[in-house]
Amino acid sequence: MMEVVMDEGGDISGCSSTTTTTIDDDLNHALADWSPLIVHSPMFSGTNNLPSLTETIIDKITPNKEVGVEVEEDNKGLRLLHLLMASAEALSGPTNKGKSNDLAKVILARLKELLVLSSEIRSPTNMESLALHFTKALESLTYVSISHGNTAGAGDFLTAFQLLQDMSPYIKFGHFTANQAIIESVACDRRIHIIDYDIMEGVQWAALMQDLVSKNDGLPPPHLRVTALARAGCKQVINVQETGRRLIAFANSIGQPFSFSQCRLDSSDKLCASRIKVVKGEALVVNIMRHLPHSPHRSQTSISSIINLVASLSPRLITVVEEENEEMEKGEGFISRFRQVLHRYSAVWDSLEAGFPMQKIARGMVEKVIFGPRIAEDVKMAFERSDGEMEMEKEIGVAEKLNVAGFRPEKISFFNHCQARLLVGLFHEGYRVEEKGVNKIVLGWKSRPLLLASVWSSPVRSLGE
Amino acid sequence: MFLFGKGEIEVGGVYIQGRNKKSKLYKRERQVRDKRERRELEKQARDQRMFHSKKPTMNSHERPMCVQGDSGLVLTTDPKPRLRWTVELHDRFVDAVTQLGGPDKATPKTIMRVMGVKGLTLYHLKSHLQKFRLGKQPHKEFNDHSVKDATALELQRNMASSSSMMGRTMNDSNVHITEAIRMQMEVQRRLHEQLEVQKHLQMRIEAQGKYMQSILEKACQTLAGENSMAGGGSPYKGLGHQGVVDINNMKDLGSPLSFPSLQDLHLFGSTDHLDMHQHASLDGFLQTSDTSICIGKKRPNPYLSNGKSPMIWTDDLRLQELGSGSTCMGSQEEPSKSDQLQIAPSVMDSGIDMDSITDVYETKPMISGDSSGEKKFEGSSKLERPSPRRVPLNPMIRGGALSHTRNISHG
Repeated sequence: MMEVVMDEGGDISGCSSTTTTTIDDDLNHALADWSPLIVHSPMFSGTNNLPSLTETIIDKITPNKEVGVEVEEDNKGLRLLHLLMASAEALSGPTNKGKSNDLAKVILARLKELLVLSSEIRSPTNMESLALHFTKALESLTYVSISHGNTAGAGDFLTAFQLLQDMSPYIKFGHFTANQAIIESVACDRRIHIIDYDIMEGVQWAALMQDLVSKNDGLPPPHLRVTALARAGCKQVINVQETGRRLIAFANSIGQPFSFSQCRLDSSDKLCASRIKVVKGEALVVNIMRHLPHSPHRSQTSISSIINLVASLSPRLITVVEEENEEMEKGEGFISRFRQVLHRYSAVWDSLEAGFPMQKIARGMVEKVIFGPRIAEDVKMAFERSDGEMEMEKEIGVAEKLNVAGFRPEKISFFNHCQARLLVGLFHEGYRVEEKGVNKIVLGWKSRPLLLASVWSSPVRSLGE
Repeated sequence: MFLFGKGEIEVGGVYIQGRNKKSKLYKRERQVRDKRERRELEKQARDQRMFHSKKPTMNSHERPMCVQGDSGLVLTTDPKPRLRWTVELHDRFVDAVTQLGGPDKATPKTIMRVMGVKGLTLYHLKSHLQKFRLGKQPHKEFNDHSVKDATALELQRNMASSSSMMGRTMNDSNVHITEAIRMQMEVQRRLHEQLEVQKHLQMRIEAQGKYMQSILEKACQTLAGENSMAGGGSPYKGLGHQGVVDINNMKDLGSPLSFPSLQDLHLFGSTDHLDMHQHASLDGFLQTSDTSICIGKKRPNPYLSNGKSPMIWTDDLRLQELGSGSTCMGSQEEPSKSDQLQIAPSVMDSGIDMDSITDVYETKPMISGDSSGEKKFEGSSKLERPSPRRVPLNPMIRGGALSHTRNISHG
C-alpha cells in the first residue's frame, strides 16, 4: 500500500498516475457509511485520478493546531471530493441513463446532508463551500425541473462584485491589460471607437477614460466612443442602457468627451455587422472580455458573430481576455471536463482564502453570488458537450480562432507586463503572471492558469502607421 | 581627485546627502560613480600624456604600460601581469561564446578550445565569462521575477556587474566603459519606467473605485426605496449562518462600500488605519448574521499580509512630499496620516531590503524634479480634495468613522 504524497506547494495541477489502494479502501469505507444500499465497487476500479484529488484536498484543509482534528478534516474533505467525483462519474455513464441518474441523485443527497450537517456545527471550510456549489451544480443536471437559478438581487450582485474586485485581481488584470494595450495603440489618435462584446458594468472604460484624461501631452483628451453589444431581451438591453448612462455621467465628471451607443444582437444572438456605425478616421478597437468571474456564459453564436465582425471591420486592435486551461487529457468526456472545472474553481477558492482567510462572510458572498452561478454554468456546459453522439472537442478560445484566422499578434509591452505583475503582487504572492508568447499574458493561481489576455491586430493594416 | 565632498553625491544635478545611507546599493552606486569620474579624469590625463612623452602614471592599474607578448596577448606591466581584454580579443571571445550556444552553454574550457589563443588560461576565461554573463543577465532575468523583486534584484545585479566591469574595464578600452555606462542608464530607465507603471496603476485602480462608488451609490438609493417593499427574504437559505444577506441589511452592507477604499487605503499604507477600517466594515457583516466568527482587533491587513506592496513606497514618498503642504485633508486625517508615514515602513517585513529600496526610490522624485512634482500634486489632490460627487455619499454611509476614510480614497 503506497502512501499518499502530500504536495506542500499547494499545487492543484498535479495529475499523477500512481495508484493508491489506500484511497479505494477509504472510499469504500466512507461510502459504506453513508450509502449502505449502493453497491459501488465496480465504479472505482482503475481510477487514477483520485490521488491528484487527494493531494489537492489535503492542501485545502483549514490548518488546525491539533493533528487529530486535521486528519479528520482531511478525511472529510477527501470524502466530499470522492463523492463529487462519484456522482459525476455516475452521471457520465452513457448506458443505463436512468439508473446512473438515480445513483447520482442518491450520492448528491448524501453530500448535501453531510454539508448541511457540518455547516450547522461551525462555519463551512473552504472545501465544504466549494463542494456545496458543485453539489448544487450537479443536482441541477439530475433534476431537470429544479434549477437553482440566480436569485441574487441587483444590490447583492453589485456588492459581491465590488468585493470580488477588492479581493482578487482577475477583473482588474483583464481590464488593465487590455486598456494598456489600447492606450499604447491609440496614442496618436484623436478619436477612438471601441466595440465592447460584453460591457457588463462598464468598469473597464472608467479606468480607460481616466487614462485618456490624464495624458499629459498638452492636447485635450481624445474623443471616446463605446458601442456595447446588447443581447436580445428586455433586461439585457436595460442593463446595457444603464451602464451607458453611468459611463456618460462618469465621463462628464472627469471631463472626457464620450459617447455611448448600443448594438443589439438579434434573437438568435447574431450580430449584424451593418448595424455598427463605423466612422472614418476613428481608431477602431474591439474588446472581448469573456470568462471573467462576473461574466455570464455567452453563446457560441455570439462569439462567432463577433469574430466575423472583427474580420469584416479590420479593427486597429483586438483585445481578448478569456479563461485559460491546462492541457486536458483526451477522452473520458464529462469526467475529465468536470475535473477541470473542479480544479479551476478550487484554485479560485484557494486564492480567495489565501488572501482573505478571516473574511469568511465576504468570501461566502462572492462565492455564492458570483462564482456559484459560474460553476453551475460550467458544469452544465461540460455535461452538455459530452452529451449526445458527437463529443465536442475542447472549446477553442477566441485567441486561438483569431490566430487561425490570420490576425497578427500584437506585442504586449514591457509596461504592460510590469503592470500586471505589480497588480497581482498587490493581492497575494500566490498569483502568477506569465508570458505565453509575445502577445499573451496568463494570470494564474500558483501553478494553475486561469485567465489569458491576448492582443491582436488586423492583418490588412498598412505598415506606415 | 574626488570632485565631491564626503557623503555627498550628485544625482542628475541635484546634490543629495548620502552620508547616512547605510545601503550597500547606494554606496556601490557612489563608488561606481566615483570610479567613473576618476576614470574620466584619467582618460583626460592619458590624452594629455599622449602628446607628451610616456611617463609612468600615479596609479599602477592604469593602462598605458602594456606589453604585447609573442602570444598575441596584451599584458600589463604591473608586478602581477594581468591580461588585457582588447577589443579584438573580446570579439573573438564573444564569437566563441555564440558559437557554443550562448553564455550559459559555453564553458571556459570549450571557449578556450574554440578561441585557440595561446597563453589564454582557464582563469582568464572563467572570470571574463562570469562578467559577460552578469552583463547579459539583467535583461533576461527580468521576465522571471516579479517586479518588486526585480526592482531590487536587478539594481543589485546591474550594480554588481557594472562595478565589477568597472574594475575590469579600468584596464580595457573605452568601448567597455561606454557599455557599462549604457548599462547604468538602462537600469535607471527601467527603474523610472517601473515608477511610471506604479503611478498609472494607482490612478487606474482609483478611477475604477470611483466609478464603482457611483454605481453602488445609485444602487443603494434604489434599494432604499425598495426596502419597504421587499420582504427581505434571503436567497441563500440552507447554508447555515454563512452569508445570510438580505435586502433589509443592504444598508449595513453599505459598509462594504468602504471595501473599495480598502484597496485604495492600502495604497496609502498603515495597518492601524486599515484595521480600524476593516473592523468597521465587517461589523456591518456581523450585523447581518449571527455567526460566531470573531473579528479580532489586530487582524493583519490582508493586502499587507504578504508583506510585499510596492504601492506603499511611492505613496510613502508622495505623502512625505505632500506632508506639510496638504491642506485638503480634514483635521481628523492629519494624525492618521502621520501614522501612515511612520507605520507603513515598519509593516514591510518581507525579504526586500527596505532601506536600499527606499533609498533608491527617494532619489527618484528628486531626479524627476519639478516636472513630475506638479503631476504628483495633481494626481493626489484628485484623491484628497473633497469633490461634489462625494457629498451624497456621506449620508449613505453608516458610521462617521468611515467618512473620513472615504475622503482619502476617492477624489
